[in-house]
Amino acid sequence: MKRRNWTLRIGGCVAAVMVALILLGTVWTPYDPNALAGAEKSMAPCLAHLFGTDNFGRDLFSRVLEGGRTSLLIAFCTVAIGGVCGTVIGSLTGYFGGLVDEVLMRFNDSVSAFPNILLALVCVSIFGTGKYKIILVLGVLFIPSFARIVRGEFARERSRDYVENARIMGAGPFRVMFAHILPNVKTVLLSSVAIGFNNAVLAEAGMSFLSMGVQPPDASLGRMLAEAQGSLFTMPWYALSTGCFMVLLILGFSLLGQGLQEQEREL
Amino acid sequence: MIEVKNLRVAFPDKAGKPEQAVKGISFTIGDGEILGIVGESGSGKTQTALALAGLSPRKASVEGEILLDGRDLMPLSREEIRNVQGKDIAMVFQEPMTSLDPTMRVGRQVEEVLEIHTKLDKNARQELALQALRDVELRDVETVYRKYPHELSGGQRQRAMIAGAIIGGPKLLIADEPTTALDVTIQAEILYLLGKLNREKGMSILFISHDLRVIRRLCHRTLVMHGGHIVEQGDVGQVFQDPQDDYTKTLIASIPTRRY
Amino acid sequence: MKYYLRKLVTLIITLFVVSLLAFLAFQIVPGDAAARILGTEATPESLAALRHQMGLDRPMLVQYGDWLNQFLFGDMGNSYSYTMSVKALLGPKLPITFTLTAMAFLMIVCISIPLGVWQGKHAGEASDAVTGAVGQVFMSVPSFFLGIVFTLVFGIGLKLFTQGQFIHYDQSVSGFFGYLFFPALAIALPKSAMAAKLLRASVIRELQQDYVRTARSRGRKFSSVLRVHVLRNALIPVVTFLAMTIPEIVANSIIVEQVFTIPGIGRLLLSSILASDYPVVLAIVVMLAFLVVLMNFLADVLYQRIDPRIKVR
Repeated sequence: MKRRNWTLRIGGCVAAVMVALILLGTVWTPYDPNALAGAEKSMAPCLAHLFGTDNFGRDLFSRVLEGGRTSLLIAFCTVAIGGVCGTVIGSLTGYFGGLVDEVLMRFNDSVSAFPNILLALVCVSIFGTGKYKIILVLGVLFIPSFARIVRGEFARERSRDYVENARIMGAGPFRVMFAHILPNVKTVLLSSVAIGFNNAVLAEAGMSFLSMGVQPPDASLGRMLAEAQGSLFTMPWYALSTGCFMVLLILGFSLLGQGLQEQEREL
Repeated sequence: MIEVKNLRVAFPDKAGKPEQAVKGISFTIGDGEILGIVGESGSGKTQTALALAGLSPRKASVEGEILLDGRDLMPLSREEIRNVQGKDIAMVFQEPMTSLDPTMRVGRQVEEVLEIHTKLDKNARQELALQALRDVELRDVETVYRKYPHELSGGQRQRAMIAGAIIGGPKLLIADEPTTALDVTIQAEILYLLGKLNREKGMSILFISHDLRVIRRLCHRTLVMHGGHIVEQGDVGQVFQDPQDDYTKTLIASIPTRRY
Repeated sequence: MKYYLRKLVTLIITLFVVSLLAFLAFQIVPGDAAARILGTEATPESLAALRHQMGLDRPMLVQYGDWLNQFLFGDMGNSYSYTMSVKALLGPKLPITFTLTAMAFLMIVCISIPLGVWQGKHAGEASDAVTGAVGQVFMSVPSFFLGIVFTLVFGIGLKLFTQGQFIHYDQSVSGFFGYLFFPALAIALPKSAMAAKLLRASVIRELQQDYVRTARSRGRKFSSVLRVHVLRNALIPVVTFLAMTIPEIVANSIIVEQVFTIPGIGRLLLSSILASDYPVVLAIVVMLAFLVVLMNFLADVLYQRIDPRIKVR
């Protein structure tokens, strides 16, 4: 009797819908996100403006989609940098082991003990803010967590029979690692990518909320929330809609990641 | 004296229909008697023991009568059952490794029954616990009292389990495969200990095992269970010398004989 | 004892390394203290003279040793932006952030432990599924958004506090705690949901252990079995998690202080970063780093104490 993996299903659906909405936003938004409409200032949510409008009469749904795009783009690049570098480092150290592995993992553990936001703040205070700097900073900070997971998987798979067989058949270490082992740790890797997205959206939002992340004219969900907080009294829907959109995005990736983990455990 | 009348234990199967693990068995355990139940896994012997100890899984339905000195335990409330558990009927399990709480000192686990059922203070409880540990022939009981389970050997742990079971002076001790997880020499020691406790304290023992040799060594009387039924019962000597049932015969025939 | 000694030595080495890294990191930044002081009037000569006077032309490691020595005795240098020592700047802010962190931590413990045990006990029932789903959502809510929602509901809506009107403990102790209640809750709820989920899984695992059956065979009530036997065993993984959340709480409090305009370490850190006031940033970062390392150490020790199976080597 196979239990249905609801976490995976719901997470997948929520994440897919949110990403689809944001992707749709790149080609079409209900209104021009930057179009000022003097007659429609500070409107509460209604059918014409799902999330309402801001004090310049800009459609908030369109703006949230645009902000979501920046957030998602940053998260994507962060996970790409962290995931690729982490996977390469983790697979090499996990497969070969030895002193380098030992030292790197020690270093890894120490870095992982520090909250992301804290390290990111230190980096930003040294290197400065902006969209690309944030991507680079978060990307580098995400390497250890990926490396740790991949390393664990490779160290475990290394002694499995199929790896031995491949080696006996004459496959070189890189062929064994990337053609044989990597496909077998696919689910684990996918779940860490999903959780990476979750953490990246969170971290970027936090940084941008503190105005330590993306800078105007770029808008991300975190920056919009900071802006929205200023008009909480007059336009509560601004903060609520932006925040809920962000929560759904995070929730989707978080459930997706947990669902994939459950799946892996059942296999 | 324990009388079991027409005991049935059933579990709902996948479709929700009840499937009987114990199919209406009746037997008695006399005062001071050691009764062995023998059978292979799935014969219903463990479910019988758990039913007697009031530990049947929540989804099981248990029917019949279990009379302890004439008082039926079946209609009792959970609270009344708890008053019997540990005090009148105590139980020892198969795995001494996992049957003790790893984070609690052995002493406190031995005296747990007193903590639950009596108003004795800490010192009085400790006195009795140390005595119980001596009764199960552990050496250096003060040290053992302060140790954690993982610091004891398997045999010591099982002795501590037995000490915790006998401390309340139960009328019946249920031992579910208590020696299966132990190696042969320790197995023999534990069997000897159970025999001694039975003689000295006069408590009845329900001993459950799949191993006929162990049953023959310790028990006075035995039941052979198969597929939820009792297929044969009688004095140990009689059952082993002159088995009536075919299943019993094959069981006895399958005992590995010593070759010299 | 030897175990603790070895751990302690590792701890001290780690603290050294962390402080050295932090110190060096801020040496990368262009423009040192001398350039700051002289500002635009700096000539290469005057700059070099002042550098020499301030000891900035000495080798990096010597400067580090000097700085560490002063730091350990409480002298953290002077702020660039304010004409006061870093110590005087931090002094009044530390108790605020500390209180906020402590309150949030207490809330996490008080919410997650009963909730996790309750969920584990009722695993598979509808109530467990509902609270689990609610917990999932809370895990995905960043604490600063939760703070905004609280401001909206409890501040603007129910008028339980006025956002932005921080009450200092000098004015009113109860007002101080009252103002920090919602910020602390905003930090605590997401973490509580995580801790409860962890504890729930742990309780479910422990309830299947044989020792539970043993305790029940002795006539212990189920609720008592949970409290006396299961909880202690189930808490083992959670304690480590809780110790490790303390740095996370501090990190979150940096953001939440911003939401509620609480004049704590976090706001000081942010304004110092924006003003490039590096001595202040360095002092705060090193203090937080020390906190992280200390909590790691504490987690190790606690883990070791709560689980007797872990051999003291």
